[in-house]
Amino acid sequence: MITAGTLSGLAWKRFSRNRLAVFGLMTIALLALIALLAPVVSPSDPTAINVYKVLSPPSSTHLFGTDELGRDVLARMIWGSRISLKVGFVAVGIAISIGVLIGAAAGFYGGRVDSVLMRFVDVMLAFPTLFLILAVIAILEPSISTIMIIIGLTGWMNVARLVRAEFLTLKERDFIAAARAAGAADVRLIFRHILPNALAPVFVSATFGIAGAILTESGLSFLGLGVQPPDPSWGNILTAGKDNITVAWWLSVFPGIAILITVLSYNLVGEGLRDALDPRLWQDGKR
Amino acid sequence: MDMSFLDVQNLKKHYQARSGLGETKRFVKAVDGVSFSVKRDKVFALVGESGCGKSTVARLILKLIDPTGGRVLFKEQDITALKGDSLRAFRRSVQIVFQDPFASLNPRMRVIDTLGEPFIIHKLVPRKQIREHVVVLLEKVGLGPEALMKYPHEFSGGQRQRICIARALTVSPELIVADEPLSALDVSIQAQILNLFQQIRRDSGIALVFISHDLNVVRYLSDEVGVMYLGGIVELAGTEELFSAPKHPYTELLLSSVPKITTDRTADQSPRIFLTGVQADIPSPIDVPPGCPFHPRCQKRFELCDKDVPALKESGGRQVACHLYK
Repeated sequence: MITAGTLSGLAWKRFSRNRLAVFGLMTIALLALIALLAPVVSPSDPTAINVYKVLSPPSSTHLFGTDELGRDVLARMIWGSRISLKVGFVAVGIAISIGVLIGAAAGFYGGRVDSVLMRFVDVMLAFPTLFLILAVIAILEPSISTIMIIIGLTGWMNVARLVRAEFLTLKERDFIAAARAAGAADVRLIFRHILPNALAPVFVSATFGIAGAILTESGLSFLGLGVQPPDPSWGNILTAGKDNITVAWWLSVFPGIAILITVLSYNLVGEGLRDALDPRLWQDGKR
Repeated sequence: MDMSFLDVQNLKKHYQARSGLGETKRFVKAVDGVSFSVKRDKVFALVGESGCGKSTVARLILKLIDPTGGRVLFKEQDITALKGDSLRAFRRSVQIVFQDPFASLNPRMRVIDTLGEPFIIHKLVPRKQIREHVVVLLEKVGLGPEALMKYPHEFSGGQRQRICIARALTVSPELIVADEPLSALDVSIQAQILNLFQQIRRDSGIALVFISHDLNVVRYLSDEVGVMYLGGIVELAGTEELFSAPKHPYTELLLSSVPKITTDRTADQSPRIFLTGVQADIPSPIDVPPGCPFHPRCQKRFELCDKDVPALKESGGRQVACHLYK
């Protein structure tokens, strides 16, 4: 028996024992802080061109060096982190909203509703996501909002499956029958009784999803289909780095490491959450 | 005769069993033609082994699941067809208490939210007064106001069952269906919860459908007993008549299996019936034996038993489904 504290308190206790996950969480917090405070912490204007300092190596004035137009790489990366953060959260936000609604409807109502919705999920999964994104961007204007929306629209299927599976087991539980006997309508059963108990795997999936979305955005920007210059993004700094890789290693290395650390951090947090929220590992035994 | 209160008529619930490609469809007859009635202010007990369909009957009475056939009349209204507002009105009249108090409370809702919810759904009291009403409810089931802000995992099994009973009482129901409310609890706690049920009945005269396999509890609590076997009722009688003189061989078997405590060694005790081998296990409800479903385990079977299904018939002030009684 646990004498005090809530279920989330219990999960936090388990999470905080995982050092790598805590490291990831702290890194993410730091990155988020930097992104929010970009106007304050950025050493210079990320779009200020200086033709006298083209491709100068890291120095005390330009910690991460400058790019092919003499712009400060550190400043561009700090402003670029805003893009990564925004893309990650907005795209995953869209994906979760769609996934939760479709998964909840499929799992709760079952039968024909379930069959139709899950076959739709199968169809969506059959699309090669990256090519779908490329096709849409070829038609629409490549912009940060287009990318976020498309990553969201193509990334909800996994969430829908997870939520459906949770709903299938939870709706048979006695406390749902009791709420139904108390007169609770479907909407109340779904959103107040089942969903709060079904969210643990969604949080885990969301964390991994953010990492994936950041990678996708970097990839698209690298290909020139994402954030358009002169606006900075980690992906399009890498593009410039590719052209000058023999003379300016700092253009590729620093944004590359930033992407690596960020994605790694989200994945570490995701794994930590997965372990912390797994009810089979709770000492309490019963929920 | 007074107006009937709860009337269960020829109730059936069949589930389709999973069958392979090309196999013929098979059905699990969880409940197959159950009829009984419950009088206002009385306790009706349903007894039987695990898997005989008792809990399915409970869920059918609550309209938590829809029957394959038959009707449930509550105050002469067929509840199997209820929808919308009339269904919501019915939900205020009949409540349920489940077996497992660990599974029947939402783990993410505090006690005040769980117990306050029926008030909100049925708009019984203004939101500001919900708290005081919940405190009154908790007091009724022997819990203090410190329980309000706690989550289910902070309580013991007995305390949780008290909360479940309080939830059933929120809407001031006329009937509570208790589906083995004691079997998940420790023996010492069972007595407390049993007394709580007695006290509630004394105070408010709520009718009770009490599902159990503990015959001592049933004898103590109920006015009438229905004995279920493989989805059907085999004997229906007043509690005292049934316990003093069981008629159906299955009832005899059940009663003989109850451990007796007596200080008098010479007291006349009916011999205990032991079943061995194939006889010992209850048959699967997919493969219900032909004729009387009880005949493979029956000590008194004769040639008619594996051919004809005995109907539930009036016999000396009670109803029995057995070829021995005409």
